[in-house]
Amino acid sequence: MTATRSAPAIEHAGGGRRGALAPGLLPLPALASLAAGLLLLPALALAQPGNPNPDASAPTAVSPGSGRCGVCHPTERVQFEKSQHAEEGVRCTSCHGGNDRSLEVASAHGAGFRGRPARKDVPALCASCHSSEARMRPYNLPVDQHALYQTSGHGRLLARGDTRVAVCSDCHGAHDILPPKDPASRTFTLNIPRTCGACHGDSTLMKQRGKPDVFRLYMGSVHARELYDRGNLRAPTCVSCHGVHGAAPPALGDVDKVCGQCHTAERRYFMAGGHYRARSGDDGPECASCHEAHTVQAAQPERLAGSCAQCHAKDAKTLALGRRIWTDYHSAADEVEKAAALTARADAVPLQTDDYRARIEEARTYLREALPAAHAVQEDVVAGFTTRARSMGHEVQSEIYGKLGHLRQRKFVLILFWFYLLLTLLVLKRYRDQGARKGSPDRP
Amino acid sequence: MLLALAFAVLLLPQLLRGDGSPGSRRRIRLAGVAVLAVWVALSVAGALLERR
Amino acid sequence: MSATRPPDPNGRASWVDWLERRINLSEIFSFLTHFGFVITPVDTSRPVREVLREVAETPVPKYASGPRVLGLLTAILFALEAVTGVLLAYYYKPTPEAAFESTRTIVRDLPAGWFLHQMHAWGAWLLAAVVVIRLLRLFWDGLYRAPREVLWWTAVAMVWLVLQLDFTGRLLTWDAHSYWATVRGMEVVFALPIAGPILAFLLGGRVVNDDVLIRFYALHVMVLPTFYAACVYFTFATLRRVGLSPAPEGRPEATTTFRDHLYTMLMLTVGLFGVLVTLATVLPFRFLSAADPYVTPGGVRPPWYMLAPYATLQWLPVPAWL
Repeated sequence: MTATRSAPAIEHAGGGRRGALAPGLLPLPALASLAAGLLLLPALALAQPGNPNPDASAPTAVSPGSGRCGVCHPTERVQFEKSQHAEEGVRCTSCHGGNDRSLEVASAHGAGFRGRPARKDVPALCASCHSSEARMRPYNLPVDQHALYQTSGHGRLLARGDTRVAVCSDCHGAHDILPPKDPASRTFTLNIPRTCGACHGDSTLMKQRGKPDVFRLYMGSVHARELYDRGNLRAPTCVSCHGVHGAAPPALGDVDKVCGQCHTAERRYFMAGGHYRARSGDDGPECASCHEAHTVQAAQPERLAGSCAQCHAKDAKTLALGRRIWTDYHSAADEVEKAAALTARADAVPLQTDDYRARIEEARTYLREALPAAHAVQEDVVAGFTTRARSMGHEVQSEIYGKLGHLRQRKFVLILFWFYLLLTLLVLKRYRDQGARKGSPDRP
Repeated sequence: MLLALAFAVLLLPQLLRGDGSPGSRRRIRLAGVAVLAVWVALSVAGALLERR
Repeated sequence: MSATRPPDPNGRASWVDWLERRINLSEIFSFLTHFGFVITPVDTSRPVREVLREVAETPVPKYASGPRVLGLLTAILFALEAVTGVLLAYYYKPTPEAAFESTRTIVRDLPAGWFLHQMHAWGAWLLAAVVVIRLLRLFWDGLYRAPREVLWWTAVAMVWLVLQLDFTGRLLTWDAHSYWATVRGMEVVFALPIAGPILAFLLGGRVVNDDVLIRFYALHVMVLPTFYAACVYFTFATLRRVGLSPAPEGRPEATTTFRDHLYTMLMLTVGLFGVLVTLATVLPFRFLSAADPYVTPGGVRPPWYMLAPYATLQWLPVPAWL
C-alpha cells in the first residue's frame, strides 16, 4: 500500500529532474538562449503520460541543486551541476543563502543571503557540514579536517589574519568539487602537485614569503619521475609527506619518520647506524641531508663526494666510506650481471640454466637489500649482503664456464674423430686398390 | 610472375630448342647468368631490408 | 637350381650357401637393380656369389668425381637427413606449446641430441646447396636437352622439394627466429597469385599457428620426403636409360669397376660425414629463445631463397602477376 502511494512521487521527481537537466548537457553558448526555455521544460516534463499528479510538481520543477540561480549564473551552474555536491543534494543556498526559487533578484538575494563568502570564513563554512558527524557518517568521511586545517601552516596563518593562504576552495574548488578518486579532480593523486603548485610554484608569491619554488624542485625528483614517467599512482606527492588538511613541513628530527613510512628498511638501517646515533636533539644528519628535501634523488657516486663533504672534513676517513660502500655494491652487482649475461650465452648453446636463474634472482635479492643496508653507513653491514651476492655470481659464472669448457672439449674430441676417420678412409682405399689389383686379371 | 618463372624453369628443355651450336649455347648461358644475377641482387636487397 | 650347382670355387662353405639353398638371393638382389643402383641386368637363375662378382667387375664410368658427384651427394645427404630426422622425430612434439620445449629437450638434455640436431641442420644446409648447384650445373652444361628432360624436371622438382623441406622444417623448432622467418616467408607465399589463396586455404589461414605447425610437420616428415625419394628413383632409373652425363669435353671417359665405385662411394659418405660432424661441432647453429607471436625480434627476414621475391614485394606494390 505504501509502495503504491509513494511511487508517483518518485516518478514525478525523476521527471522534473530530467527536464531541468537537459540544458546542462548542451554546450555553453546554447545555454543563454535556453535559459528562457528552461521555464517551459518542466511543463514538458509534466506532459509526459503516466504522471498522475501534475499540481504538486511546481515547487520541485527546478534543478535540485542550483534551483533557479542558474538562470542568471549559468557558468557557476554548469560547474556546480557536475560536482559531487550537486549529486548529494547540496544547493546553492546551502553556502550562499538566499532563495533559489525566486527569479526576482531582490527576493532571491533577500533574507539570509550571504553572497560570496569571505576567504577567512570559508573553512568554517565548509566545516558546518564536514565537521558534523551526523552528516558525514553515511559517506564514511572523516570529520576532523577543520581541526586538522587549523593546525596546518595554512590554518595558523589564516587565524593570524593572513588571507593569502590556501583555504578549502583553493584546493578543492568552489563550485566544481569532485571526489579525490575522480581523475578530473584537483585532489586526484596525479593532480596534487599542480594543485599545491598553484601557490607553491608561484615564484613571485613564494619570494615574498621567503620560500623556495618547491613545485619545480619536486618535479625534478625521483618521486615525480615515478609518478609521471612511470605512472605509479602510489608514488609520493606533496600530501604524502606534508599531510593533507594538516599540511605542514615535518619538524626537524621527524624527517626520517616521514620518509620511513614508505622506506621502512632504509629507516631501520638508518636508525641502527652511526648517523642516527650522532644526532643531538634536532641537529644532525637526516634523510634530506643526503637526498634533498623536495628534489629527492637516489644517492649517486658523483653526488656522494659532495654530500658527504657537507659535514665530513676533507681528510676524514669517513669521507671515503660512501665511495667504498658504493664501489663494493657495484662490484657485486657487476658480478651478478656478468653471471646473468653468461646464463644467456649458456641458453644459446643450450645448457640447462633454470638453477642458475634461480640463484641469480637470489643474488639480486641480496643486492636489493644491500641498498637499504647502506643507510647504516657501516661497511660490514653492507658487505654482509654484497659478499653473498658476489659469491653467488662467482659460483654461477664458474659453473657455467665449466660447462662451456666441456663444450670446448668436444672440439678436442673432433681431432680424435678425424684421426679415426682418416684411418677408415685409408683402410677403405686399401681395400679398393687391393680389389682392383686382384680383379684386374678377371676383367674381360 | 613467380609462377610463370617456375614453369619457365621447368619447361626449359622445350623453350630452349637451341641448335646446339657454340653460339646459341653461349647466348643461353648468358641469359641464365643474367637471370641469376638479378635474382642474387634482389636477394641481397631483401637481406638488407629491415622491417618490423 | 641352387642345390645342384658346383661348390664354391674357393672351397668355402658359408652361411651364404646355406641361405642360398633356401631362398633365391639373386632374385632379391635383382630388386636393387630396379632402383637403378646397380647398372647391370641380373640373371636371377645364377647363384648370388657369381652374380655379385660379375656385378663387381662390371666396368662403369668414373662416377664419383667431378661435377657428376653432385647427383650422388643429393642421394647420400637425403639418406643422412632421413636417418637423423627419424631419430629427432622420436622426441619431437608438433604443438606450439611443446614444440620449443621438446626441441630444447632434444638439444639440451638428451645424450648426443645436440649432435643429431646440428647434423640435421647442417645436412639440410648442404643438401640445399648441393641441389641448387646441381641445377645450375645442369643448366650450364646444357643437360636439359632431349633425351635428358626427365633428369632436368626431377632436378627442378628436387630443388623445390628441398627448399620446401627447408621452409617447413625451420618452423618446427618454434624459436623466435624460425617463427618470424616463417611469418615473413608466408607473406611472400600468400602474395602469390592464384597459388597464394589456395595455399592459405590448405594451411588453414594466413596466421602461423598450431594448424600450420602440424601441417608443416606432416609435410616435412611424410609428404615431401616421399616425393623426394620418388625423384631420386626417377633420377637413377632415367640414368640407366640415357646414361651418365658425358665426360667433360676433351677428356676420355675414364672407366672403373663397379666394386671400385662402391668403395669410392663409401669413402665419399665417410668423408661427408666427417665434414658434417666438423661443421656441427665447430660452427653449431645458435639456439634461440622461444617464439613469441607478439614480439618481433630484430633482423627477421624470410629464408634466403625467398629474399628475392620478398624484396620485390616490398618495393613493387603492383600485383605480382602483372
